Amino acid sequence: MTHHVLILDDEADVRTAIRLQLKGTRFEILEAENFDQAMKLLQQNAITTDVIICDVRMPGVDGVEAVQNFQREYPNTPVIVLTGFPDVDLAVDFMKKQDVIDYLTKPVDKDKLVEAVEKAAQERRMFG
Amino acid sequence: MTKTKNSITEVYELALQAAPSGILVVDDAGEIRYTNQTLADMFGYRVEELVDEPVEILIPDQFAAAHRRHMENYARAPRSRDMGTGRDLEGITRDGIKIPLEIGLRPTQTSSGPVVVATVVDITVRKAIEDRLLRHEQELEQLVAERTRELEDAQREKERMLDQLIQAEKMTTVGTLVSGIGHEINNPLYALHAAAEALADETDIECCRAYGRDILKQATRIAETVKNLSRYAQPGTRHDLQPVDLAQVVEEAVRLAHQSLNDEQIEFEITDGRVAEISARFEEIMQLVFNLLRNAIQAIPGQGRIQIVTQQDGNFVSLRIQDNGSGIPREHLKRVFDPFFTTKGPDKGEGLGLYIVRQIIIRYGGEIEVDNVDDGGARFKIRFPVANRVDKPEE
Repeated sequence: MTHHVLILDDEADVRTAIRLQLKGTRFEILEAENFDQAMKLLQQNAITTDVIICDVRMPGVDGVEAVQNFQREYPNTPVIVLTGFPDVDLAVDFMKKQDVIDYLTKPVDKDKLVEAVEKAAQERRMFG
Repeated sequence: MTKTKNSITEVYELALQAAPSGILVVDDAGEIRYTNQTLADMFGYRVEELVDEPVEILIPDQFAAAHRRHMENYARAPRSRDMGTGRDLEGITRDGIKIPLEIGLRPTQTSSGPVVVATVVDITVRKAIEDRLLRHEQELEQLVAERTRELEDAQREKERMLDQLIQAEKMTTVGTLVSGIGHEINNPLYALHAAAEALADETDIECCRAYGRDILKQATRIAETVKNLSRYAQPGTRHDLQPVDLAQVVEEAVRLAHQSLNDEQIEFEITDGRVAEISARFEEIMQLVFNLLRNAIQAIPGQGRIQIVTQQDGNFVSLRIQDNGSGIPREHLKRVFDPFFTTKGPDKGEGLGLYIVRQIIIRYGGEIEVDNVDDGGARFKIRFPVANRVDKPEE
């Protein structure tokens, strides 16, 4: 069975980076550059998507809302939040409030990313 | 007959004796021939004690010799005049008290030879008043000098504080920039990072090359961003004025605004006519333009347009920044440049931006005004005097 990771980030650079870093792992990437795209992809790949990685700060989009929506529609799919360095406080706050599973600070080391994704995927298997 | 003569003589006598000024007649040997009562009283003598005495009896010792000399000079070329014009003359009374005098001299001939008639006025009171006036004048001058010094000090202090304020405000903006630009730097940095990781594990040479090119592309982007930020965020104030091209500043400020303020939906329309240079500190003008751009961006909810025009107006270079945002409420128009005036929420700055903008402009001898555009939005108009080519200011 395919294992998908959905990445929602408006920056092409970030999506490319994550794609590169997950190359060769058992995960395949689904790229979305806005929330609507992300929801559509999730609909089509609800069963196979193990993890959602979501950028916390995107223009015109409330990161908090996006995560809340994911969790409402797909409560069994863990969300990892992605943040740039000044946003760490925001992300931690986020995590506490929204029950987000993990946060990653850009730029992410490949092994850290893989480890976080694997861990999240495990959670899903256990409770999904 | 004698009676009439006596009457006239009496009158003359009375006139002389009772004259309000002292009257003295001195012969060519320097001896007193006649004094009136007023003069005798002035010096505390009886008239008869003075007649036949040398006139030096009335003069303090320190001046006596000089007086002799002056008398001899005068005798050679006698004419009516005030004595010692411009000099403080002093007489000495019988009791040794010195009194300030004003003396007038007139030579005349008598049957016994040439004499000098002198009028003597005691100017003690007048002198006291003059002295007091002089003292007052001196005190006043001193006060003025002190006040001037205080004013100059205050002015210097004000300049210094303005510099600090400008610097502090700049740093606040730098804080905003850093968050925004952190984003700008982090994203290409992430892509670069991932490409480097992949490159390290890659064996296929073509793929390696491709990763290498990616890395270079991202690295260049980051370098550019950092350069833009450094230009703006120079620590400390540089004191030298340089020739500054306003059109160039606009270009850089717009670029910085693009990168840092996430204004995806705002279109910048720049019209730059060829303009002469102004004499200014580059980073202050940058700060100024950037501040105005930031305000314009924040005034536009969502999509919008900002028009920037630079043009030459005779001896002035003018800059116009116009947005199509919400405009400024009429009652606020007059107050926008006041310090600490802000209509943004409590966390969005203390309202010093426009105040500082205006202070910078004033310092450079320029002007700024703001009004609302008819179909919505605010328009800032700024003018700077053109740099004077003849004297390049050095500091």
